[in-house]
Amino acid sequence: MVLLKVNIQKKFDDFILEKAWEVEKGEVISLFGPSGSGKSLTIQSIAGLINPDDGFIEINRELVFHKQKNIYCPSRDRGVGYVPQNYGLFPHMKIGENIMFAMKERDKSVKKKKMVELLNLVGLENKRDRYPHQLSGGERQRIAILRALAINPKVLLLDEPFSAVDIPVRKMLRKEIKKFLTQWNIPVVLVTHDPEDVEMLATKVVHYG
Amino acid sequence: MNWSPVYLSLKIAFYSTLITAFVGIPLGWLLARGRFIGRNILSSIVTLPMVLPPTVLGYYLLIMIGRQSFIGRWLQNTFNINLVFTWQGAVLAATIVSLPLMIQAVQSSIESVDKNLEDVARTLGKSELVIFFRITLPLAWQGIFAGTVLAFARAMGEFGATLMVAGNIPGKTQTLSIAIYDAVQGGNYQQANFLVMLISVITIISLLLLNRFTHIRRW
Repeated sequence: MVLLKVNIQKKFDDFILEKAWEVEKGEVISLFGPSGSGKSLTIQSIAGLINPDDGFIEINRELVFHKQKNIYCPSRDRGVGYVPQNYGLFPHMKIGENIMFAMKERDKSVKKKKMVELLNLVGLENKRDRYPHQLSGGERQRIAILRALAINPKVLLLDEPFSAVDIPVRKMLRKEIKKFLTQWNIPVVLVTHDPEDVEMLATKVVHYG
Repeated sequence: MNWSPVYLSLKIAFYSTLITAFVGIPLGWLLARGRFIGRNILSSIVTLPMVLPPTVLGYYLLIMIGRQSFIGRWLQNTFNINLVFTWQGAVLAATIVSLPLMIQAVQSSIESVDKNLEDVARTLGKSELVIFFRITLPLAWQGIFAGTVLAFARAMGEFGATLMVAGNIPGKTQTLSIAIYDAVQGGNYQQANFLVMLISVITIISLLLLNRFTHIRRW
């Protein structure tokens, strides 16, 4: 079952980005190519942070963007988990607060319970009262992914998730993320320029550039 | 010693800072994050009071709110309010003069907040209001606080525009700066020394507090 369909166009000064691809449930699609080839722009379009010049985006068979039909669903209503390159953790909130901020539940005790469960998944429960700057790159990455998953997203978008991590740690992290993503069973879009990421994690590749 | 100019200046600075914050924070945010036609014009208009001589500003205000003016007549007829030669008029003058300081501080501190963080919050389903109060404001508060202190200090020391709009009525509109000028003109150096010392001490303490608070970092 196709859960994410992307068909977009965007004009730049020196080239035109034109991409069409789709992802099924549980698939990890890798947008692979050099920097400046429009990979990040594609996932930012899916997240609703920028609008392509033409085309459409469909999440769970629902149009969230369609130029011709004038459909522009705002970011906050798309239900998309987005992890930017620098992870985008809120520096003034503790780890636990970062994750709870994402949740829709009103009851604080429910949120707290869910937060502890999520942190336990990656073995970082003991770090919930730390601030993001007190964590290692790999830990920050896992927290950012957890926070994106805390909204129960329909799709998970990861922008160069390993670029801020030291090379020796990457291998270990890739394994962990892979195990973790299989549990979640939602379409994942992984932006990367590293062939090892593609080899280890992707079930499908789209070439950019 | 006559303390009334001190109380009056504190009162005027307090109210004008309050208004400055209410007007300056949204405007600073708009200039930092808004993309709209006329943004440059708005930016120039709000910076104008910083460049124009205060007496010129005061003269504009006087013409705008004076009894012969449209606004002045409307205020008089509808609310029975007259701002000229009152302490409320001095608040207006101080607000106009200190507003650019506030707006610039808010604008630059909001611009320094990573936009990525606001974007992430959007994908997490948060409204623009929640994003402003939970992400942007807490991350920009030091700059906003600095702007507030500067606006207060500017309002405390206001002279030109206040003199134009509110005049120099002892006990009613004679603020600290005007009282100092008045005391020197009248040869009352004892009063002038007292007021000068007082405003110097207040200013130094404000700056010390400002430095202390803007260097606190929890994260």
